[in-house]
Amino acid sequence: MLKIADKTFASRLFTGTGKFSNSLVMTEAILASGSELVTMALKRVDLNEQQDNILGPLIENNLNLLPNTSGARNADEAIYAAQLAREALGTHFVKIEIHPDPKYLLPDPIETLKACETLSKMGFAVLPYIHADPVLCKRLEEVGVAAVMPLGSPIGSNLGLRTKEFIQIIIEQSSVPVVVDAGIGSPSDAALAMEIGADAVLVNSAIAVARDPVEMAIAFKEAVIAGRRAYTAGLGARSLQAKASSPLTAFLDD
Amino acid sequence: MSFLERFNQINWDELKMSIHSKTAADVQHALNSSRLTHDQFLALISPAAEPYLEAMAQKSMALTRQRFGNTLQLFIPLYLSNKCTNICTYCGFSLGNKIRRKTLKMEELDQEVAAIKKMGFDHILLVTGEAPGTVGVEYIKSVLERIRPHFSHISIEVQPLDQADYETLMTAGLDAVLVYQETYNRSAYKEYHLRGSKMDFDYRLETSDRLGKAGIDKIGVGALIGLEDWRTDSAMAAAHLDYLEKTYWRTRYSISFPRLRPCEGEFQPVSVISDRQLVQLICAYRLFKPEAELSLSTRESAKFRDNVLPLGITTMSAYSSTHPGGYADDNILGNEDLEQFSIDDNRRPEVVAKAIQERGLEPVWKDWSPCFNH
Amino acid sequence: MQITINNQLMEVEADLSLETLLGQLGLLAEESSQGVALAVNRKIISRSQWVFCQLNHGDEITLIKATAGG
Repeated sequence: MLKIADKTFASRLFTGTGKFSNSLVMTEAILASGSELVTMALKRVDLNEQQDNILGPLIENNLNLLPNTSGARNADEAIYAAQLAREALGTHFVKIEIHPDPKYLLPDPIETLKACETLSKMGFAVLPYIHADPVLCKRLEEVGVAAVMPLGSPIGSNLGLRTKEFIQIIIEQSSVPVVVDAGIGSPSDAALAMEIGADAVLVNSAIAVARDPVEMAIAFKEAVIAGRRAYTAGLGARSLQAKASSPLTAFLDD
Repeated sequence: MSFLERFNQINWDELKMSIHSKTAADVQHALNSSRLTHDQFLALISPAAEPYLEAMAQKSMALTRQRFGNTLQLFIPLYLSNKCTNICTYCGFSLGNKIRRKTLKMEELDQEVAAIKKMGFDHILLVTGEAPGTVGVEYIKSVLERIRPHFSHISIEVQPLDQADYETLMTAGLDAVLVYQETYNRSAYKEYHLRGSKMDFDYRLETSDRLGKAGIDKIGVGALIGLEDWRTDSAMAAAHLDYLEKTYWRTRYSISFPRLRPCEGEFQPVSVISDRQLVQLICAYRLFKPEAELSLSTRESAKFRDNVLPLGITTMSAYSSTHPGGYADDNILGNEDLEQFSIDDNRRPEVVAKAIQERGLEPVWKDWSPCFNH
Repeated sequence: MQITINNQLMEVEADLSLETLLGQLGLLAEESSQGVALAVNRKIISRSQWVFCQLNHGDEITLIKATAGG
């Protein structure tokens, strides 16, 4: 079981709610994935529009909600967004997502650290979305985040774990759960993230824009289970080539 | 929050059993992994790993070269005082032992420093017993201020101090602190430490946390091998190191493996570690923590040191004297009355340096420049 | 009096309470108020306080709702 802040999860696959063609497919896919935590965004209500209701089915199915602060361009806006989210959804869990660059949507580390420090003190369970920077992860841990969410590659790029070596360092050094978020394009990417020791993965685009999102959700579900199982079974790494030299411990036989 | 909370959750006997139940498959798996877990360290120090010693040594050597290059740092210990208010049944300085007690006066300190500088050392370790009345924070601070201009790196091995004391000493020029728990077995610890502040197990255990919070550059940990089962004590030391690395992640770490030797008082170790097993332990530490400094003292013989140093050691002392005043005064040298433990490798520093070179490594005297923080 | 909601200017009667306004906008029903949060002049007003909040001329209301996103 995975524990983040005060919640436990049987599924290590977290999913996003964005980019689906309609909310019915979204709900079906999320349920098929077995995911117990879904991310959501916040938007201004357009009074002229018919209100879509994606929240209803998610709440009915007892899914944990993780609002993100996407749209915030700095710490102040993220803090404000987090408070609105807490009010809107009744959860103290929040994903800090601050990307001032609209082209690649890469996260701002400085604003993120600032926001996390304030929000942790305010009692939020903070999950920051960040680049796979091991030092940044330790700094975030120090300010009290509930987990860290390093990216595999840019949001929506489906490029997989470009940051694999750095994610490995983060996993090695972290005292909080590590959730690989962004860029996971295929079930094999998800399995790899789990094999190297990630505590969970967050997948959105790869499921939402698949030809058959429900089938893809099942594939991801199985991949995450397989990857985690392989990790706990103990994968053997490639063995280090020993230097062909004279025995180093022969002196002990004298 | 400190290591104490984590420590109290570890059961000594279960840990010991876990080590002894490791199999050849566990060892092979550990040997083939990078980024070892603590559990894999247990496999490497278990009896099952003994047939794999050569493979461990090869990997240990490769990792050490990769991380540290072909160098070996030399340092010298300077005993400032052997006065002590503790009774530690295994130590030459123990309160009950009839030895001549001496604390260096500043002029004597100057002479020691002059003699040491002549030998070429630039890294120094200041050692004292525990006698806060005579050798307290003020004394240590004065020593630091006095010798700071002469050494590029200063570490101390003294009684556990408060965080504020460490901060004071850091301002005075302190770079590193070594504090060994001796044994991580609480009940055994009680039997060895019969009098004095050292009886406080918890305070000693939490010293590294206070140092980490003070922001010191380097912390040295370890157990005194022989006080209890060497494998279990080493497993505890490794767990301690693992916790410290994750918590005080800006700090560097050093590990030592002092083996109990005869000293004034005739103490016999409860758990004997053979040469082969000590090599196994050194290699296991290296495989577990490729970035940690591994330090070997002159307690070990010249032959052992020369053969072991390329396998994973990164720093060693040379020509050590555990007598306060032992460097400047040739009359004191060889006088066993004042010793803390007997030295086995008595070679002069230049002889040790040559032995290092013959092993294909470069002896480094200076590795640190305190230009930004002092 | 004039107020803005999500940057849209709106003419409303004086002495309007927040709760009344939301009712007029059809946002009080259980389903439509699910996942909604609002702030008046950047101060978040919790649901239980909606009934007590009196609006004034020039007030800026931000109304947000949880929606699909990654």
